[in-house]
Amino acid sequence: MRTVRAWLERLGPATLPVPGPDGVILGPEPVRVKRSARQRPLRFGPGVLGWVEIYDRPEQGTIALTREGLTFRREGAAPSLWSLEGLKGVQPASSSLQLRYADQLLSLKFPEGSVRLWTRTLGEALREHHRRAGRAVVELQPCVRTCPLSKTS
Amino acid sequence: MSGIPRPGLFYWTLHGMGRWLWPLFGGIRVHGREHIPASGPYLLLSNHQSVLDPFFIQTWIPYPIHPMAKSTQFAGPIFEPVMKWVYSFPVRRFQPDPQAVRTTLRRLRDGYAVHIYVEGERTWDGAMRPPRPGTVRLALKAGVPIIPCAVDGAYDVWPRWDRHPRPGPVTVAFGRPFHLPHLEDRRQREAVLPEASDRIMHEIRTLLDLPTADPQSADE
Repeated sequence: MRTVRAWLERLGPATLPVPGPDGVILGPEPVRVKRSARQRPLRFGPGVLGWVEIYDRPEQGTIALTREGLTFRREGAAPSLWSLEGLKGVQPASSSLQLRYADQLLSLKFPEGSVRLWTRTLGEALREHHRRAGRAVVELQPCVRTCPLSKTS
Repeated sequence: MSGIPRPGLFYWTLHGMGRWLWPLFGGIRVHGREHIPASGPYLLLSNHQSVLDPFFIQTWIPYPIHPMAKSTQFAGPIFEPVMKWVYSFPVRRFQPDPQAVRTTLRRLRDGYAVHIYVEGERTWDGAMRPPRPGTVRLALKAGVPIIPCAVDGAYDVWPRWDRHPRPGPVTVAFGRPFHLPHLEDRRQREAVLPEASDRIMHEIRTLLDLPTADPQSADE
């Protein structure tokens, strides 16, 4: 029986989507978004053990990635644009993509899509965005860190 | 000690699952148990292949070890008490988390062992990723012995992109304790960071000859 790792090796590298005529790189795709802007202390035994995010109720909608950022649309509400410039962290969890945007933590769950594909595509879009601004991405997670392009050559 | 509750039946039941249950689902082999100290303080640094890793690793340590886990795992009404009762403590992602550093250092100062997955997350493709700089900085600041630990086979059992586990053999290896320099000064820590990272990864990787991720894809 072939192992999971052997199957992955046979598959080879994934190809990233190219932007369509409307500028959309990926999506629109159904998504469930949870936002968290608050944290609470966690206690166990004496003292504070740490801090845990408090999420608001999940919102259903669709999300699309363009060269400007992520646009989240939901019924009966104005669309939210999370610009690439404002994204401060990109990290996939087991079944969701987690983003740091300004002081918010966003958790994106794709019921029909691939977290891995969104993570990689968003990463590439971020690299391209910063490259256009003369910066190179040093790391995407836990925080997006950049440096001047001149320092990388 | 620090007033942390003693482990109960719940803890010991979960603790025994890796050792007593997994032989029914593919078997578990362990190497280097003699390297596990009789007590803390120390840092157990391991790779992370599967959500089942805590069961496979901690089952061989005959006392509670305190694992660092992402804070979102403490969010639910069921998981919060479970995580607390297995002595886990949260670390917030996307930002430096001084509270997680304080909790780690406090646990070590109180004589406990702390378990951190150096890559900071489970592997996507079975290969080892580079260590999180924050973890290496913490190891340099703590100045306690480091026990390297490698788990292999767990990725084939339950990779992070799969919904269900499958049976399969798992191997866990513990390495000889080693020390990194104990550095209180931040600039000194930054200076030795690359070297310390390489040392940690080498110690873990060579235990089971684990594959390493392509550096190009390391931050995906």
